[in-house]
Amino acid sequence: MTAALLKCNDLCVRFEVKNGVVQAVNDFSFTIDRGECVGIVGESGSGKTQSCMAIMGLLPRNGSATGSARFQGQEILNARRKVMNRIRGKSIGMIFQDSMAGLTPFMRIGDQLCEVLIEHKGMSEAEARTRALEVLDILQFPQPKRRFKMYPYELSGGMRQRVMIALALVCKPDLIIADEPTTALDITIQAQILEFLAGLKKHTDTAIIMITHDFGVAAELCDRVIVMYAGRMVESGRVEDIFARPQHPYTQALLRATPRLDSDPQAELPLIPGRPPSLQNLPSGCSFAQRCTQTLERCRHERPELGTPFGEHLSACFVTQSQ
Amino acid sequence: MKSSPAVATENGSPLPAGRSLWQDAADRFRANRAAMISAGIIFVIIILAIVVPIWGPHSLEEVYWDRMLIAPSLENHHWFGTDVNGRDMFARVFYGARISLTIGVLTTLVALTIGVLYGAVAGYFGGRIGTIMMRLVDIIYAVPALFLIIILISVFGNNFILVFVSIGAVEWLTMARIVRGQTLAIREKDYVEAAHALGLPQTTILVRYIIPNVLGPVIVYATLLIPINILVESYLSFLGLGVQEPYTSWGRLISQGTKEIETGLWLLLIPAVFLTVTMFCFNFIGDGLRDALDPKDR
Repeated sequence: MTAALLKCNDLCVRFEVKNGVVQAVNDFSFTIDRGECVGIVGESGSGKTQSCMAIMGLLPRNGSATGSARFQGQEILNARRKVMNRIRGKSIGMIFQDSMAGLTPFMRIGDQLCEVLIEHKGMSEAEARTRALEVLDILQFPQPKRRFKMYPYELSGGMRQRVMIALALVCKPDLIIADEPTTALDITIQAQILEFLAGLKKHTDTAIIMITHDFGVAAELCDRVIVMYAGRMVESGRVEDIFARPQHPYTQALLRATPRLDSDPQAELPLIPGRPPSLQNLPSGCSFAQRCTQTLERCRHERPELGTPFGEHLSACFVTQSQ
Repeated sequence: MKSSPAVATENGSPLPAGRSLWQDAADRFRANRAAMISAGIIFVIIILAIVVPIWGPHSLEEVYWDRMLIAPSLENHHWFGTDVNGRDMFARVFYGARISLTIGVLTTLVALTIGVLYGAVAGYFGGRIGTIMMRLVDIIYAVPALFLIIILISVFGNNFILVFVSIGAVEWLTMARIVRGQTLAIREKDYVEAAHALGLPQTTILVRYIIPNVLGPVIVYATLLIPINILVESYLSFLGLGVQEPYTSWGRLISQGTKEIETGLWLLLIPAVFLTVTMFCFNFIGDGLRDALDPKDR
């Protein structure tokens, strides 16, 4: 087995706000190997985006990260801008959720693509243009030559998202972080983009971190799934295991709340009662305890550590661990 | 959203260039009648300011001893009359237009350059550097602008270049504030974050991603600054600190005209009308640009 492509240890992200500190991500450890696709699933505010922002060095000013993140053996957490600029865009590509806002309005899409190549690969303008068109072609971007000189607002949402993906891909990165890349798109384009990412995984050695709140997306694309809740990893494992034998009550509840083709369309989806705890004031016990249906007494004071029910499967729950 | 002609054309036809937001704004500006008429008037004044001193019937300095203080008439081509020294006002008004418009535009360019760079840097880097930079602006702001200009001119002597440099050096303050405010908003935009995520260097992000996006409101303010600066030059000249004889500007002509208000009202009225019309026109153009560039319309 080769060394991990990205290895995070005890990643913590804190935000200083007016009335205290928000603990957005707590003790998050995971590894990603070459060519592997890992889904990070969780609801809004569970810390999935912020952990990736911390790795990329893109935290807002009031945010700080501790722990370690090693990319190809090099520590990149809180690395200097100069170091990061040689990695960002070149070795790690990032796809953002909102493609409308992700492209600068006053630059032709072709120029935006070429700029990255000229910056990172030292290509000439002509070489950059060839490579950029090649990537757009692979992405099945309709009539790339014709649209090369267009401004972002002249393109449809699907096309813009393809440009965003192309921006992340032009330099052939080793890792792509996709932050809900399909959330803002309609279902047909969503399917095309997922199909493309699946193809990318199959044909190249690119690893993908897929941030999503949609279990369906994760199931389709990922090898492994990490479930986050209130800034902590609560469960992780191979995608088949997570779906077949979810160990953490939160994962179980999430899966129950996902509509399925074979379920009764008239029946109401089971909800998870309550709300996630405030990240400014996390409970001392299990952060899911207040919403959990199987709470034990110790769940309220003691925090369950990640344990291995079987194989590579990890879960942080006293109930399933004691069974 | 505009549908692009490219969608309809067949493969193989020449590449249509994308229509930038600037082109859209230009279309909207052209539809604004007041702004277009104003632009036309300014254009005519500029052409006359170039042509009249070169090919006009009289020169700027020539003194006609026999024709002092003549009211506007067609006789001897004194269309705007003559002043107390017997100099032709038609030539002097358009020579004054040269100086006033040049000063208006150049001071604005000086203010624009300093203000945009200063404001963008202060806004983009923010934090302590930005705070110090903006407090410095506050301090200079607190000193009355006219006072500062007068000090600058009396210390460094009175010449044409210094007049606009010193006006520009005072007028950039508001520009810097506007640009900083815009930059603070643009800095948090997703496309700037995306540019960071693409590993682009800070200067590239500042020059290619931030400054083009703050330029809209800046251009509007610049067109409004031109008449203000013409006015500042006018009262400097009025106070005797602007351009010197035999050269003249509108402000200087008005200042001289006030002395003859009882004997030769045209000496005051004609340059005053030109100054007022020009100021109105620039304001209409500024309004038109603001409507055309308003991001809410997109």
